[in-house]
Amino acid sequence: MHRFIHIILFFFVVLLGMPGRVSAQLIIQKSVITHEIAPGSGVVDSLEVINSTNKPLGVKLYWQDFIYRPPFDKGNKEFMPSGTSDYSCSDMVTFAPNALTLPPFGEQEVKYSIKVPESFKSGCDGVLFFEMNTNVEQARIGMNFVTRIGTLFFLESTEKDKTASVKDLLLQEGTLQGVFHNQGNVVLFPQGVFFILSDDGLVEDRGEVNKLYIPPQTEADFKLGIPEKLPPGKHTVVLTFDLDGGDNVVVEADFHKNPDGALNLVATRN
Amino acid sequence: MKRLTLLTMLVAGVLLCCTSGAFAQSSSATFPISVAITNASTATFVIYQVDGGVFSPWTGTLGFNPILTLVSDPADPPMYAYLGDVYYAIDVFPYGAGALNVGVSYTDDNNPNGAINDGTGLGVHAIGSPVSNDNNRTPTNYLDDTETAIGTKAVLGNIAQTIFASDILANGQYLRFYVGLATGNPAENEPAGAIPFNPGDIPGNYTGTLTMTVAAPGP
Repeated sequence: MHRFIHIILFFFVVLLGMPGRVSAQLIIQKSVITHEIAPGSGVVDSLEVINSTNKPLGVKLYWQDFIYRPPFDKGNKEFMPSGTSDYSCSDMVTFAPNALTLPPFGEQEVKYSIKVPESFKSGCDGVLFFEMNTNVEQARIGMNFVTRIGTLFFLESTEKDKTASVKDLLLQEGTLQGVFHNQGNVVLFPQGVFFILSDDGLVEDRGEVNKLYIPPQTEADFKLGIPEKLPPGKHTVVLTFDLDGGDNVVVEADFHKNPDGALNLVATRN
Repeated sequence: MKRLTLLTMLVAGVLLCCTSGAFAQSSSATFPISVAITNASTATFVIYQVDGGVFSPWTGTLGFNPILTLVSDPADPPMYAYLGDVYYAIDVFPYGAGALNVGVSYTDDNNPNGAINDGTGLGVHAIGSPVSNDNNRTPTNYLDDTETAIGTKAVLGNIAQTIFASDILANGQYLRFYVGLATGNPAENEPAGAIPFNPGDIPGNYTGTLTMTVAAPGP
């Protein structure tokens, strides 16, 4: 019996030692952290970092800023040195430790503290990076391979401005397109859903508009397809962008489908 | 002993009956069930060194062991280049709530030809190529994989780009990033600006850092 257990343990250890294709290496408990904070107040919280491998894992922690890049449709970002973006949180967030060594299958808590000034009436953001460096020895011609996983921070004041509007609606080649304008002072993540109603108010189709990632005072294009199956006649698109926290932007667009299939925008309402 | 067992069973039975009665008397009850999934993020990076078509797991620096090779056609004047003996495949499996995007960037660390990142270092001698890979459910067989180019194949000096989760994860695929030295071979469709190491390069150590960044698109 003992021999059997030893054999099982041996294979278990061998399997753990194999380079796994599906085993994660570093698990960050939270990929995104959001806090709504009153001016002059603060938050103290933490997140867990887990080493899911059977080897010690050295991790370096540091803060960077980021800005979303056009066309704001997939969350593409440009990472920048700490304190360099217009909406940087770098002077409001502190964290500890700055480096850690996780034992095999070990976990550790990373504490962070946020303190915003009395003048904080907008939003700010940044990213806490967890960097792993595989550098063992430098080749004569070769490169060091560095991986880093980020936890995004979004801080919003309780007195923020989330003003937004939809404009420039256009119906072209079976697609309704328009521009979402973030006129406020926080990043908005509008998630659009739409219904297409018949002239007598029945729902003919429904769908979603790709989520957008729009910095303050910035515009982003969106579009949705009008299905070909709609019968000729008058139809209305009711498009609602959910801005989270109970806020939304609703726009309606009446259009007419001719017997030959051509679509004409008749009227729009905000 | 038997009496004690009987007594215990009797008490249990009475209790069960009482409990059933209590349930029978109540009209109905709803029990809210909720499961909270944290938006954890993680990514697995698996590096393979590819030598003669054989993929071997690899850790550490990505060294290329260049070998001086005659690359000209037999009828042409002799021309030599330092060709990489190996190249690398970096498999990236990003997991997390909201799907995670992968950013790729590169910087020279040491360049005997000139200044860092001035367009004469390893950054123009090495090429990166992002593809999505289906693995074809045969993890140990690399010959039957279907790979689709995503992002831009470029010299590492110009590689800065983001690979979107929505593109990577389509149809259950994952990101594979190939890194190798330029060969100058027209059949390889190498990107503009790729220059193989050659005897004109100043001898020394050409090194750099390839960084992969994984982050959520947003909340």
